[in-house]
Amino acid sequence: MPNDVPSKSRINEVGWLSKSAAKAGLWIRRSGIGGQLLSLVIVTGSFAIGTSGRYLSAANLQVILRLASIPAIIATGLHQVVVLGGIDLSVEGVVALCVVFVGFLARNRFNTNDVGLWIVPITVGFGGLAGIINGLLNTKLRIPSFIITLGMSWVLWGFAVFVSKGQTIPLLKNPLSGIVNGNLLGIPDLALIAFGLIIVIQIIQDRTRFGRYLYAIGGDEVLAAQAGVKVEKIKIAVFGIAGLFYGLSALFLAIQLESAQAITGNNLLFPAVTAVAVGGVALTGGIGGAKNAALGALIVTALNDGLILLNVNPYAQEAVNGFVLVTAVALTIDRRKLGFIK
Amino acid sequence: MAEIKEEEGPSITEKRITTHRKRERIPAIYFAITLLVVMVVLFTIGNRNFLSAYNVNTITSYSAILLVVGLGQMSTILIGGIDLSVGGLMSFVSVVLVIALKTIGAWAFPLCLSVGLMAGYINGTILTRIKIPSFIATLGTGGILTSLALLVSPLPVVVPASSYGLLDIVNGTLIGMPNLLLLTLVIFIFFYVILGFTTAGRNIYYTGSNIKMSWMSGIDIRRTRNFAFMLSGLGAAIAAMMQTCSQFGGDPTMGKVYILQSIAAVVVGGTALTGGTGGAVNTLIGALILGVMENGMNVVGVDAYFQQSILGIVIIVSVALTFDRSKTAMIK
Amino acid sequence: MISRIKFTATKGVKLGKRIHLLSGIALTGLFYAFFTLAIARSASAAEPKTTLAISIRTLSSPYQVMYKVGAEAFAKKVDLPLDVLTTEANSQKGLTDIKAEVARTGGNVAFFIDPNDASDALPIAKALEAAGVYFVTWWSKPSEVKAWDYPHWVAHISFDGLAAGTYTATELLRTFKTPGQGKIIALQGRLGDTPNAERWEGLHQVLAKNPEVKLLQWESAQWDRTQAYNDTKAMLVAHPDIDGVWTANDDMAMGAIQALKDAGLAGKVLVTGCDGIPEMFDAIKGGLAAATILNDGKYQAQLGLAMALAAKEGKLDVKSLPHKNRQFEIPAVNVNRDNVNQVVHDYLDTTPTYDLSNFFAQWSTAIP
Repeated sequence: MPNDVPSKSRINEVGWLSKSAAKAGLWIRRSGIGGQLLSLVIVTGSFAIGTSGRYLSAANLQVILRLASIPAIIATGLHQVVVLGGIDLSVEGVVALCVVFVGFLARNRFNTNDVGLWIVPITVGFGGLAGIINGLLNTKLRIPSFIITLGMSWVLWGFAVFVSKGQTIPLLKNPLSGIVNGNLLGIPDLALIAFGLIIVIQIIQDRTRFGRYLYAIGGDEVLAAQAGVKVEKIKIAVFGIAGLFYGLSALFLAIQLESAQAITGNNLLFPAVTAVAVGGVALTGGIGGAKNAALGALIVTALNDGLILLNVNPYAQEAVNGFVLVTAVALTIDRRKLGFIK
Repeated sequence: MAEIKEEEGPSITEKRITTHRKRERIPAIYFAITLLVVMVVLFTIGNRNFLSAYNVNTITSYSAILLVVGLGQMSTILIGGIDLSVGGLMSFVSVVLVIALKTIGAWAFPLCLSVGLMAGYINGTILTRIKIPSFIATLGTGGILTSLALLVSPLPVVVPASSYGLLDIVNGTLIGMPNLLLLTLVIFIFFYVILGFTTAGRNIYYTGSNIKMSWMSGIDIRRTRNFAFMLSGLGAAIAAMMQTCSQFGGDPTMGKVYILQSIAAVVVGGTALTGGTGGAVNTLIGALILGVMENGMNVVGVDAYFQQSILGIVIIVSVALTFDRSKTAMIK
Repeated sequence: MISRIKFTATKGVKLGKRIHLLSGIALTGLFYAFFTLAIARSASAAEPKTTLAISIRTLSSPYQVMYKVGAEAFAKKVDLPLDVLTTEANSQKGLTDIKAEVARTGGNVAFFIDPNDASDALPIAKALEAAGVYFVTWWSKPSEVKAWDYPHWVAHISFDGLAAGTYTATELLRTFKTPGQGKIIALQGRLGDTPNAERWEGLHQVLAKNPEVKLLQWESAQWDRTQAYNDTKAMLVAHPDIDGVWTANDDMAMGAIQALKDAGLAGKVLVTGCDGIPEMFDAIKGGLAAATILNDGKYQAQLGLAMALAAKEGKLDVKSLPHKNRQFEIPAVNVNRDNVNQVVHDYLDTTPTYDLSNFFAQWSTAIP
């Protein structure tokens, strides 16, 4: 790695512009998202050429940002579990139950309940609770997170269907509707919220003890435990945070579609895990941060949007999607950090 | 089971070490078998028709397909990877088999087998040569295969009645046993022997438990991982053929549910996703637990509203009982 | 290169391994013995009362729940127990659950089945034929498979998907600024589903008759509201100047409406769906949607169960039924702005009394 840094004398030679370029290059290299940025540039660049620029129009960028926001929020919650070396498959179940709660408690056509803005802490809190249960089962019963979260997802999903009796609950105008569907200076509010959350998590990961412990556990759990890290507490907290994020996205999803049904949660898990993996978070743990997860969500959304804008035959879309994913990752993955690829 | 030296992982606290010692005497697999027996007894008390020949046949044919795709999935999980392309591959093989049966007759079966092996080989090559994590590599190839299946046939296709004779390879019976089960038994023994009694199988375990050490001690990890993915392709292709034959038709969306189902069958049986531990018997138990639960809940008449939730609780409980914690130092 | 993988047996098989091998063989033998013994056991005594059973896709969709509501009402009327099975998008689960139900009731059961996939109809028919259980299927079956080849397959009934597609497309074209002239986008459901293919065919028949209407683009939104929202948003960037959106079901229509709302086009560009969920009726009333069709799930379930039960009790002689009564379609209720209030009153606010004495009262066309 040190060989890549231009020597100081050379920087002086070529002046200020290349100096800052070199600095930027160094920053990108160190940040661990260089490959992902490159993928994003490749994807957007090729679509921009393919659609003769329409892909980069303000309207489309707005759509991409809006559609990427909720997957990005979910991926930001999920990726910390992956950094620990686990996996969280409970997204669909948690979202399903939270959405059904939103349906019953927010203003709707079926009953007179209206908890107003309290809906935010209620859904988010419930998501967090589900996450903490995941974490407790994982650490106290010592069961792999894959099974715990898969089982929890089925349990919660079944419960959501039972509670809602399969009905769709149409929502009425909500105090949050303006935020969820609005724009600020042309940027969707949802994207700003997602961005804020990602920044917070990234700062926690970079600057706090919690963040350092996270990577210590992801790198080598036994070593971390021997060094005195309270592994179980960190794990429970990470699952809890993931749950909070799922609860929040459930709320946004319901308000965005102005309806609450248990199946809103379906088809959220796979895109989120894909986003995390594409963003460069190693599924073996210890590598990648919130910025990776968010970029991954952005790449996946930009890809899907581009395929529609190019009017690629829907039968072949999944093939193109798969091919581009593998190619993008092949070109950009940072193999030095991963050691043996599994 | 391959006899890997029991590496007692460094335990986190003293308390854990003692629980490990207690468990060590009885292998976890026996807990799994006990659980299965308890389930069967409970369901039989609930409705004695549970153990009728008809119903046992139903359970075993459901578990059989799950087991075959699960065995393939297991070999990739044993090396610490994962194969998400089984779904796309199964869909593709399903429609290809039916169309090939119409044109080239019995040659369709070897054709589909080679499709499976080829897909596995490509997956393995992407992992080992281009060096992309198997999760993303197989996600990509799975997507490509899903699209190919839809492009080959956008709608489900039916095997013409004139070819029903060829389907007897799966649908017929031999001395009172359905061919489906005999076939599954053969495949199970194949995997059991490969993993437990051959160098190639041992290498899979070694690679899974510590890839660096395996590489250092001269194991060709590239070939081993390629081999594991080919086994997975083989399993998925055979499972797809079994389901296509027993359904008398192919379906371009058939495989999707098997992605998670196959992983679940492997993990419920006690194989760790981190690789290196587990085996064919574990997957057999896993597939049977899922099959018995699926069938049993309907035989005793559990309300459809609660079935999904109960299944979720049962898989958590079963893994809580059966997961062999002595072999993995940390639970992820 | 794989040929170089060593398959040689590992040296020095330990005692422990031998025990494993022996126990494996013993277990296999035990299983074999158990299985052949089990075959010798005859089927157990049947339940005293006939059970009614419905096998549907899921309990999480309002339309599928209507089956359950209708079936429960029928079960109450005839005073028989009812079991509900769900496939949850898994064909193999669907088949296994049906067989489990047969085992549970000792074969004393009458079935109403909505197969998860068209290709499932054949294995289900073979399984139930072998068990001697009467059943009625809805919606999907491969056209090569004929109900009259199976004495216990009472009937295969479907709503006319082609007519649904034609009707909604025709209604959509009427709402254009210059009727019969404009541009549309479309959303299909899961590719490979029979109802989706039929409705899609209906749309194309209308388009063929109206060459001045152009289908600019279509996507598959998997019957899912969120995905329909996402897909429509993306398509609107490419085609901001469309005149209508055709979708293959109401859930996707609701997603499309939401995307149009964001773009400020709701009410100007209308949407059509199929199935008839309550929200869609509100959208039609509110001028956001042009038309839908109502497939009356309650009647579907009641008709299916009533026919299967009648066959089981010997009141309906299946063998003597002509082919046209073994495979047929019944019309759905067409809903547009003119009749939406009436339909809501007739089918949602009140439950119509169905004439179940004549199974073919609503017969419209035979399925060849």
